[in-house]
Amino acid sequence: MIKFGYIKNDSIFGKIDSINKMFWLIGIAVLSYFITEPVLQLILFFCIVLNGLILAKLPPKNFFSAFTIFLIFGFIMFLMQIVFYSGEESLIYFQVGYLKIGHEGFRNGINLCLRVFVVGSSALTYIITTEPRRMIYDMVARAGIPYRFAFAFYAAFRYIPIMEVEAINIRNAHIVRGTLEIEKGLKGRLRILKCLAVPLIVSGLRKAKMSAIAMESRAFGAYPKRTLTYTYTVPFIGYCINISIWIIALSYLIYLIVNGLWQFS
Amino acid sequence: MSEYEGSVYLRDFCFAFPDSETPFLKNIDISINKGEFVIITGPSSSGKSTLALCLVGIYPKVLGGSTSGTIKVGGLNVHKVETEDISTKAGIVFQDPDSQFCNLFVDEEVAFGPENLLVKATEISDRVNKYLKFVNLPKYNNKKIAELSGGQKQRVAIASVLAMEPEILILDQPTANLDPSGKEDIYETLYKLNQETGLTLILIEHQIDELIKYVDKLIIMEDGKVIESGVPRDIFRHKSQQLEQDYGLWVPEICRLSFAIEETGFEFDRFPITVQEFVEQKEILFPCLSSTKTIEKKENYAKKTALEIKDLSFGYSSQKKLLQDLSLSINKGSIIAVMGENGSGKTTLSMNIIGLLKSQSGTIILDSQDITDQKVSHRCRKIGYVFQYPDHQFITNSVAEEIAYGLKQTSLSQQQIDDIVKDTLKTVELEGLEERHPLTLGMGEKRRLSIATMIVQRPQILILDEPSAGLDYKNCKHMMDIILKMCKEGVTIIMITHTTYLVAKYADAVILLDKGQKVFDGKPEDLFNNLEAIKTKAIEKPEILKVFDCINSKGKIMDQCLVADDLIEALNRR
Repeated sequence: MIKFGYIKNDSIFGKIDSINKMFWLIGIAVLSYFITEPVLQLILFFCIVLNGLILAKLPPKNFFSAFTIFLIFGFIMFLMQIVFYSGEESLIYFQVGYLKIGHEGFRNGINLCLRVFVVGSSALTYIITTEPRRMIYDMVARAGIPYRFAFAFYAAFRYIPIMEVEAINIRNAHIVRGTLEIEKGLKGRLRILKCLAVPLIVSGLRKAKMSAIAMESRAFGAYPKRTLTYTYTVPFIGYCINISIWIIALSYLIYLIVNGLWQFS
Repeated sequence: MSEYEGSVYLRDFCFAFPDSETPFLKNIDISINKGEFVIITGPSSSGKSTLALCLVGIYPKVLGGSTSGTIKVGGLNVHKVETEDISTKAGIVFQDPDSQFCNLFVDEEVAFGPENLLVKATEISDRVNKYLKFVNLPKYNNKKIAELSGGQKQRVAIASVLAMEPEILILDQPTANLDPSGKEDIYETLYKLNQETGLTLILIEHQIDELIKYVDKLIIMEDGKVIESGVPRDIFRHKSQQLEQDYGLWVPEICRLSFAIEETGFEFDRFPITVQEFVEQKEILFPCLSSTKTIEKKENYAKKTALEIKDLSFGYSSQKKLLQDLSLSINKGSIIAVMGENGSGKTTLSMNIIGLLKSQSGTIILDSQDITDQKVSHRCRKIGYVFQYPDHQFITNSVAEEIAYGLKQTSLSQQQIDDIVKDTLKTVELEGLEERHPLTLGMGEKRRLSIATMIVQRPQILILDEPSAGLDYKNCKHMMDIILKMCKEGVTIIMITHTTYLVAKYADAVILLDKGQKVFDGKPEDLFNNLEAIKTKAIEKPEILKVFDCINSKGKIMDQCLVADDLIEALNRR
């Protein structure tokens, strides 16, 4: 079942507003982009995980099970980088025909993989600790985004688990029809995917239409503004965390430039 | 005050879908007074839901289409006002609550409409509390909608429409996915609303047995037209048979019985439409009924065991088990109904039988062979499964291909496959639809196609998940005729259902589940006669059995039967 969802908690991160948290998330991604040393990337990754487990009080089970997808994605990036690295290699570890695995490709692969882990774990921290309605409130009341757009995000939050259940049901229904026996090989597997996609898309469109009807029948979009029945305070710690990460990121960039380790291309 | 204020008024109203010049709704004339409780019924695709969407302005204002004639709702001319103006006059609740919710939490869902209408925050808060209390969900404000039961979700949906304080509430099959206790919750809430607030209620339903006692007006639609409109008693007194046979409607059991009694020459002073009204006339009815002999139901199935389950347990974690030490035995060629409240483990049991879920302990024996460790792909050769939503099962682009699909893994020649497809199309009466895309079929046709895809595999066991969901009487009977034919050929049917009529009419045995445990396993009559002892809310007593309870209350006058059909047959045979 879905693991990418908000979990109510009273942590420091849980109390921070979604806008400061979003800037924190972007700051982490920028810092991770500047870092080319795998060791530093690894340290940053550990910091994010510790932050998630201590400051954000993320339930370890949820966090690590949701992290699996980034683990897979990171590993794929790592493999692609070491196989398809096009730069000069100072040391070749292994070579078969055109396929060669060298030091730089390996190093870049590790760095890229860790970068996926850093961004993934910080995104998870954001998703698990951000109450969706708070996000809507911040987008509409503080960022001035039209509420119609803000609700599009909200709808996505609502529909992810519903569509996941729908996909499982369709897959089960197809297994019962014997698809696994009939559709063999790569072509067959692709056909299974197509078979899964068609009813899922039809069902998704039907639900989306139903949802749109339900919203329209309750006067959604009737006026440019709508009443906000809840209000939130913006804790000072949010600004501190947001600014801190940007200071670190920019300081590191300056350090790289001063030492000639960063080239603008 | 204009003559239409606080009511629904349609005169010569027509509606055509976008890109269609032919009207789908034709010359509709309807008048509904303020505070009336109205039911709109009719066969599938007769235009009930489309009419409901026209009443709230969704058609043509949001989804397009063209209209003609007069349509006034709550005094507003729907043609001339915006959807948001109509939303303060008429609100709509749909069949599937999950599709109509826009929020994650109960309070924000109820507040959603008033927020859109720029109602003041303090007033919204009062309305949220007031209407949640009204639907019997106080203190549910901060609950996540996803954590509620089906009945609770539908009550939240009702509260969220009520919070806009409309004069008319329209509900489109709001109980279709609910178990009897959830259904009862909704009906009681609606009746309370109608009585205490004077709200006009328009309810679209297929089966109206339990509702008929509340209803002021019945509107029957067929092929986009209103074919009957009036007091239910008058309609059913004169047209029960026609409505059932010609239009395929679910006529309430008591109405069918009363109609059949009048057909024998007996005349009621007041045509009974509820159990209460029927038994009130028992003194004059008894002479007529006491000379009637009902036929005992024969066991048409073999005594050989088709499926045996021993000590089956299943759960996603060791703490919370969804099935607990379940044991049962099912005879070959019989129809078994699996009943229970939503979440009692019915679908989990069927998923374990087919192998889509792997049991933690216990054994499953099919035709004397232990299949517990068999893969789902092996089990599928002997067990068929028709899912609740047939759309999920379709794989190909045409009806004929869909039926032929399962035969691809056999060694049959193309000619043999073509012959089987042709025969099967005839059996399920889908001839002429061979080239149609499965997703474009009507609900009844889809259900028959999904059964056809299983028939060709020649299963020993066929599992049907909520087979009557969304079907009118005609389509349901049609489907059950196919099922009965399969039973005669030795196929065992396991039917997961909430529908009392299906169980009373067709089931040879019932398995009742509660929190993953078997609480009853036996004949339907034994279950229905012992509901109080079993203490379940998952099952409602058949209306006809309630009649027999009264007839036989002071000593047995006649042998009971569970459905009107059997009693009518006995009456006709006298």
